Amino acid sequence: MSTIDLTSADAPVAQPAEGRSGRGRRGHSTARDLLTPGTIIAAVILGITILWALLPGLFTGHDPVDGGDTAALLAPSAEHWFGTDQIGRDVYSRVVHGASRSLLAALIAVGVGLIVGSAIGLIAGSRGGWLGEVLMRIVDVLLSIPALLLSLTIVIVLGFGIVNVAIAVGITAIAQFARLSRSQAVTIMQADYVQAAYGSGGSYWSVLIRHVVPNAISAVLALAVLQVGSAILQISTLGFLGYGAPAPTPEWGLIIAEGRNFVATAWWLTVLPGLIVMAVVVSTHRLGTALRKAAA
Amino acid sequence: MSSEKNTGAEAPVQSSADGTTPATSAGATPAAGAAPASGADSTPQPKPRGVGVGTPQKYRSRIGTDYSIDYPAVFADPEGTADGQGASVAGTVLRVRDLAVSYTTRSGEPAAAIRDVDLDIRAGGITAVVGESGSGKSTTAGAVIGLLASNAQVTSGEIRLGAHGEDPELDLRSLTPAQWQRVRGARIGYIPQDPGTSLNPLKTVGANVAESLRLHTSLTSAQRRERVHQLLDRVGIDRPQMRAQQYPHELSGGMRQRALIAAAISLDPQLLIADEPTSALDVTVQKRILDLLDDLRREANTGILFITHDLAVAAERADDLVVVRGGIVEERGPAQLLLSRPESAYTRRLLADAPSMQALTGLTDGAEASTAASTSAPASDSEAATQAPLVEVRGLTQVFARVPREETQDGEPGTTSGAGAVSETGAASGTVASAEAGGTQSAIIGIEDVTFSVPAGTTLGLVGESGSGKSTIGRALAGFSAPQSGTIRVGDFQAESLTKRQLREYRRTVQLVHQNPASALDPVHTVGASIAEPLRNFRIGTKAERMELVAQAMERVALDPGLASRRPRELSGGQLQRIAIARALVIEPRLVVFDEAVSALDVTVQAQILELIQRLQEELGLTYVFISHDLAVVRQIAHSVTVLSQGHQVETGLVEQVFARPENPYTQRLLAAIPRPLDTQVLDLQALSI
Amino acid sequence: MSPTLRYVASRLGQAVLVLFLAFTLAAVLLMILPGDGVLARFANPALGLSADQVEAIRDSYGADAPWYIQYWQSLVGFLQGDFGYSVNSGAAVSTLITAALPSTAVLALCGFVAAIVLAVIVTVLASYGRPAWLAAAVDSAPSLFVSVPVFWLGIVIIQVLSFQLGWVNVVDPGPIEALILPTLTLAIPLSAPLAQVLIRSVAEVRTQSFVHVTRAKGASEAWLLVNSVIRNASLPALTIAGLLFGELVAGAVVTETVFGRNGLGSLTAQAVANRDNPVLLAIVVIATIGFVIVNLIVDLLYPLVDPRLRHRGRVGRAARKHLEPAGAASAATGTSAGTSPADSTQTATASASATTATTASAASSGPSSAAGGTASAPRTSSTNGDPA
Repeated sequence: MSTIDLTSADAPVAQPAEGRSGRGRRGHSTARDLLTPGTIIAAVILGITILWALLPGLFTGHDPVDGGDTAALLAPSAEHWFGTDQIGRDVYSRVVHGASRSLLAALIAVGVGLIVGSAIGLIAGSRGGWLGEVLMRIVDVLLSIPALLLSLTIVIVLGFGIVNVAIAVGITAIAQFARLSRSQAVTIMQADYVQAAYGSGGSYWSVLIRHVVPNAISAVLALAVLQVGSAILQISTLGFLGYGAPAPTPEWGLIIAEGRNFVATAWWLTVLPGLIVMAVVVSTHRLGTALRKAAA
Repeated sequence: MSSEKNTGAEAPVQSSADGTTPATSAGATPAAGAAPASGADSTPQPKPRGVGVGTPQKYRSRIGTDYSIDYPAVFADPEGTADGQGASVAGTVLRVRDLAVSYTTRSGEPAAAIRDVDLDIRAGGITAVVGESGSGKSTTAGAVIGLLASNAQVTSGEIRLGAHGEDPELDLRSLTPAQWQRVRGARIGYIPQDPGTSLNPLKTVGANVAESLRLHTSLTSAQRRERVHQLLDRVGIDRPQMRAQQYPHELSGGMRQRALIAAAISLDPQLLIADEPTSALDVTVQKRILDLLDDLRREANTGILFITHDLAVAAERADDLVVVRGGIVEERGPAQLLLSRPESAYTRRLLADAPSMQALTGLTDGAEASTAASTSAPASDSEAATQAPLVEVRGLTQVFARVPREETQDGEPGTTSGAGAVSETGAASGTVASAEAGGTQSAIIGIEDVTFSVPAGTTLGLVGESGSGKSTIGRALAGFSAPQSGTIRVGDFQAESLTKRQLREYRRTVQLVHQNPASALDPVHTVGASIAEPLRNFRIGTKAERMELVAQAMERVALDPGLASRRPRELSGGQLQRIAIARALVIEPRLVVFDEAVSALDVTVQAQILELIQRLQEELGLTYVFISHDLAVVRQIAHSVTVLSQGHQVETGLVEQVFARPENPYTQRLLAAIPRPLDTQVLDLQALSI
Repeated sequence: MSPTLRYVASRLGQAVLVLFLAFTLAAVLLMILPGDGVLARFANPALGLSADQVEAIRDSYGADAPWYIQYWQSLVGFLQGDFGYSVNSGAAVSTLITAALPSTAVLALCGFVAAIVLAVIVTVLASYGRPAWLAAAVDSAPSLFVSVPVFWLGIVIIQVLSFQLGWVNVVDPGPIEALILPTLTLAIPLSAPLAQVLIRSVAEVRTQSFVHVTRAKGASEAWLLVNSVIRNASLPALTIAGLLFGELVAGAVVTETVFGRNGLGSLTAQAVANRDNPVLLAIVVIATIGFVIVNLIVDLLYPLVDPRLRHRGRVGRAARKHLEPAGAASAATGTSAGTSPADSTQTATASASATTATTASAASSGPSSAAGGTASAPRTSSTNGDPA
């Protein structure tokens, strides 16, 4: 089977534009483009996860913390979908209850990053000048320390625990949001309609609020969705390393860490929760990419 | 549509080197070019043929190349030359019949892009396909060269490429990809539209031009280099050895287009497809490029398929015209026939709407060439005499940078002697050879010492090619930049020194309309909200009153007020520009600055907007400053005109005067570069009847 | 000073500034804020030290001095290569680091190379692969790879490749064998962002006008790939080098923990667990130095690869030798496009396409995109105020 075919005259999909106005503007994605099967599946997965976080009792009857009399290290079965762990707790229910922590933490992280980062970026991009330079130097510094090390540093200062982990991850996300919103602000400020807004008698703030923010928001939101997935990964990594919630709180990274020692005999302890994490992150990725394409 | 800046010094065109007047070359081609057909020789020798062979005495190479050299054997065509040349008069290069192309839309349904298209191209002839955007002209070109988008295919029809020397006649629809790779570049050359993006930015110009040679020949790199220098020289690029080592971004638009032409002709193809080759160029540069194409096709007997939206250019240069609209051929035939007796209503409308056609050739169905001068001149003349001017600009200066005047970038053959001379006359001073305005001034990025005044209720046209500084003036007038020196008085305001509060008030006096309406309207807001924005900012009226004002503004620009709730992406370019104008007028300014406001519109839409603007001026007593690179449009709409060149004011005066009796050489050259279809076509007839 | 030198100097200056600020931030967080880590550790009653002994230990750590003295001493020490002493083990931090560095460096290098190879394979398959379903499947692989938790991947790889399939020995492997699984674990998530950028930029380059023109000259897709697409498409990949470095560091920490390798990564994990601030500070500084160097190299490399970023307004060296000797004025010529007001300064620094989530594509309004397409700040958060 030839897997690479370089002989086809594969002409580009985009036709060279005819140049004049008319319908010459870049096409707007219709709703139909966005609702591909992949995107729908992603949305469903995320929806289920959110429901797990909000109403865990609806999805599982087992106690995530206290195993009771259940036997340990049972394989997955109809009774225990993900089996049981070394002290007899139902793994599935641990995962479901863990969703609330992980999602909450991710939301905190992204919230911190989005609010602080976008504010920095929008001001730096729209004002420019020395203020913009100073702000972006700060962002540069945040960027230059590798994210994991930065969050570890902050965790050391703040102490362990899931909320602190969330804040730490949020601080590392500030730089990404700042960069994006700054470049959006710069682009938008150069647009003709901003000049026209000034020409219509607008002031800096009116232009910022009425024109810059609404036009920047869709790209920023797309990034936020992507960052949720990234935050989940970072938070579970920190949890795996032991800096997040203490045992026996169910938290995805911690669950995987705890199950690690039994991986040879009880693979379900690590594999299944990890697959859940992956599924959720892939879904956020999918949704975020779709949103970004719609924003562009 | 932008025009690329041409920074080269403008030398007066030497007519001998140009040789574009059809009369001189009409008889020259077949006979002069053919090398003595050595039919008597038993051993076939590589005969010189192709570029440069046809008229060695006419073309003087600046680097001393003798164009009667023997080409490498790969170009040899022992029997072909005599046949090719002889048969060329009768031979067809391209024959297209009943061509139909359809594409599959996203929903999976097929839609027709073009239908029932016929065309013929003779060897040595130019056939122009003219149409507005979306008419399918580029699709036709794509079908001929076999490079359509992946969701489009040719559904029916015949495309045949004529025989050429040893190469057989081909049915282009039946070629396999491998066969296509042998045909493209070698037998069909392609000249793209936008010189800015059509050269690989990471490769040198020489490498770009040599690509065809690498693909189709087995020349060594030294031989390729040599050939590239010849080609660059032939297309009129100065110092080809140096230019070949430069990168595309270091060259001006005109030079890049020439490099693209050099690449296209490098293998002496029998057919050249020129896809809007001059749309992105200034009008003087455009003229030189078109002259070049004319020369090339006569020398090498190349057939040219010329795609354009500019009817005047097509009519001036082409032998045959094909007018397309909505994917169907509206009319086709010999150019002079089409121009003098157009049959289809669409063609007639195109002729009527194209400003250059009507204003300069007086060609519409007997309709008067409408100029602002002819319709409203008498009234405004007398008024102007009695009214104080609304706008007075004195000594306006805003110099961003000075660029030492370099010798012509666009390698005008006539200015070659200037090339060496320039460098000797010294850095900053202008070329002695060029009679520029104030010949010793250096080129400026910005403007220097501009003075004019505009009587109330009239229109001043600010004309110049790209880089002339006209936009800088527009921005200064509209209060978007403070000049370095000089004064601007508009009404009671001194615009060069406004405080922030005064600036806000000033906005109620002066408004600016941008070139591209799609980018001048916030895509997030409805168009009604955009129109209402000035009202909001100045707190005029209550919400209900504002809606009423918006509706009135929309009606004034002949738009249905129901469109106020639409977003910009749902409207067409013409509608958007009307919205932009409505927004500018809603706070009742006295002066409106139009910065290339119609340049990005199709010709028919452009005509409508111009008519709207003129009507509004009469109704509301507005004063306009109309910035444009298009002389024909300015002629139509302006009462007085100021010509700018590279930051300097070159000529000012009433429109009829400047257009009829231009005094400055630059203005003369600018006017001379406007396509004059009727002149060329008439002469062609004369030549044929000799 | 020649413009090139000025450019290099300014980049260098910015790098040093960022480094200094990063050090300050880390020092504040790890040294000054936590207050007395020494006291916290040694005052533990379980150790049974007397107050005087604790005082003496604190003295030796210099924990008594006011914060600015501590900061200054630390800064000076770092510049000299003295990173202080580990609170946990008492060893000199620099010793710990030099011991741990080689192993991590080797792993990082192998992982990086493997990631590049993997990314290139994925890109070629996704862009040119036949049949179409395979290309689409490969196209979605990076999205999968970027979502996988590194630690989980390591565990699963050990389980599958080592325990179940027995291909690789992790219990007592030789030096080379010990690298295989960690490299794989590191490379897979690392290749993902690179592959994403490459796939997008290859797709974008293939639609560019100059590629269309070359196709019209009779080039095959293969010829285009090798001669035009590769070079143009790899430009945006350079801009994420810094990002990749950051991921490499994070990956190293996790991978070494999962695989039980001794290196900077596990050193870091231990330091955090033991609240060993001096060690962490030193590691943060070193990692930042690495990041800054990587970005500096990219900044200096970019103009070499992309001629549009070189100094405008001057004839290139290769072209210059063809200038006529007569007339110094001709040396001043060369560009016109660069100084045209129609080009904004942004377009001269345009690279071929936008990078992943972080840069926006400038709306290319018809007139001013002479360089075509999008303008993006190549790497740093501020626009590259580039040469000239």
